Amino acid sequence: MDNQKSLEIISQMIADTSNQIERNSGKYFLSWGYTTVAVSIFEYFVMCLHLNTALIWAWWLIPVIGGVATVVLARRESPTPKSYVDRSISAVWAVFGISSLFAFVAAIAYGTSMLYLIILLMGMGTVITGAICRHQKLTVCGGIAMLLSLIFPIKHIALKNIGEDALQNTSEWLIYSDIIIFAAIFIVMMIIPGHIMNCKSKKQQC
Amino acid sequence: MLKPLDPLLHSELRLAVVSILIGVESADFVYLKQRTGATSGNLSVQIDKLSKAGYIDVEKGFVGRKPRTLCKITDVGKTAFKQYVETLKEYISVKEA
Repeated sequence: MDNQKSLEIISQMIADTSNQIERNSGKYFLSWGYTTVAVSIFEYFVMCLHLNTALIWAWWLIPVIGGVATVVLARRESPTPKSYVDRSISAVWAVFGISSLFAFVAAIAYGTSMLYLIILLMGMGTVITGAICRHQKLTVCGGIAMLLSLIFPIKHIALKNIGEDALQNTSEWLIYSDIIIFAAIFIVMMIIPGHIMNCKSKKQQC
Repeated sequence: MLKPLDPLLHSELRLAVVSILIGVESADFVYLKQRTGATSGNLSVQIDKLSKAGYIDVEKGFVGRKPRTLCKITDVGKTAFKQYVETLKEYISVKEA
């Protein structure tokens, strides 16, 4: 074996292993992203159409479906090595996932909106994951999501200032539009980068 | 006078295995087989050689009912790999000069 061949083997194996990590992340982003968007749209109609109030608990479908999908996808995965990057990303999402659940519980207890906090926490997780994976587009999408989370307090202030009479005449479709904004931000934060990651890894596999 | 390249690493399959393991905490046998494209028999022999030299740790266990062989690079292996790359660089710089 000549020296050139040695270098080729080293660089190819190291590159293949790091690509594997990116290949694995895309599908998780997509499963959580699509689940959140689907449940949010469902909840939007529940609120606007005054459907059964018990359906508000359907929000819990996000961690349930997302969690089950994560476990199923991890099991179906071909054997992959565990890297330091993998471990860091898992730790980041475990911390932010648990924090989001706490935010969810606190929001119910205080009767405040949880959407702002969840977008902020998930956006932070996305930015950190992008930084760890050195995936610039993922970092940018997470950053945009964090920025877009400001829409919620701005909208809250705007609705507060229009006065009681005007507020009562405002369509519920607009009042509850927070949920649709939440879903739209999830598209930017998880679905778009998820597809970009999958697309990139498919190209690398060819 | 250039140092000789480590003969244990200067083999296509063993170098590929160590190059994979250098960037991860651990990798299982099936993954190594997939990435290197080696046969099970050949890979087992090479893993055994690396293990006997103390370059990698091999842990045999089960995941459910399936047997699983997990490989992990040791500090000795990391040092040997680093040394191998350094020596390789010297060879290339001499050749280019």
